[in-house]
Amino acid sequence: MGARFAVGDEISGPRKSATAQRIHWYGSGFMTANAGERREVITNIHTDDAFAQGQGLPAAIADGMMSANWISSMLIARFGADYIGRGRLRTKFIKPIYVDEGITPRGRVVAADAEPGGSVRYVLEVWAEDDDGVKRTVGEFAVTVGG
Amino acid sequence: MLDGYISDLEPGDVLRTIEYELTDLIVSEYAHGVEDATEFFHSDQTALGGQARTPTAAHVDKMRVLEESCTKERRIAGNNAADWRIHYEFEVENLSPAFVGERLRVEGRVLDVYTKRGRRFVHFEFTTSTTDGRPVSILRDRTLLRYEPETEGSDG
Repeated sequence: MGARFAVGDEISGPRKSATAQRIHWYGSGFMTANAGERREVITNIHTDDAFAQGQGLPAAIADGMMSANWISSMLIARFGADYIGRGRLRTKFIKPIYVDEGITPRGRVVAADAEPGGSVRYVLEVWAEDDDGVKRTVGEFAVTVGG
Repeated sequence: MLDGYISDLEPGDVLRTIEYELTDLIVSEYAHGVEDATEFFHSDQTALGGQARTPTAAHVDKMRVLEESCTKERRIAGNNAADWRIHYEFEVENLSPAFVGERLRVEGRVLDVYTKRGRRFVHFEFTTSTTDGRPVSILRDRTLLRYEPETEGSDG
């Protein structure tokens, strides 16, 4: 936090496997946050291959918000409170992530503009890629730091 | 059209405004679900001066509004539609932190419903503020209504 970056700098977060357990954690956390009481994820396209196939998918897929949040955690580690208070994140889920695939969040600084008062406006290209470097989730992040 | 399925929504529909209190359970369990152990989301002893929700948690606001607006498809209540939606794009602009103990108001509307390559998408916007008027976040979100393309009569 409080770090300074230059255009072209790259960042990354830890590689994670989209395990069935992680999918269960996300689904249950999301259900709990919505219900305001503890809930478990229900059978759906993220938790059950047969259900997913009934919807035309080849197999169960991770929730898109998992890769979005892995990107987000990478950004929180760098931009902390500035991100929580005034950061903008866009993620587009361009290819499904299947159970047990390995995913790594990454980012590249594409703009670092000094603003009045000593703050800096950063813009990053962000993405989540598989072990072959294929982007599954892409997007953009912008935040003003300092000042 | 409200009070049907999410697939019944039309461009320009204004969704039902909801209010809810942000509890430590909501904040910390969502953070657990996304495996973010940053102290901001698990304790009030932080540099922010309180326990804040993750900057992606506006996604919860969306679901809460849809739950109240599309009453034939209330997934949290266990009432699903035949077709499972696929999340396509998430865009959140955070305007201030939202803290445990604050009461949030969420307004939502349907920006567009369109067909692309035979698949129907809904484009939403959700605006969240505290009930005393402090802006918290704006979420714009695109959702694919069903994975399988329409086979006949699609205009995309």
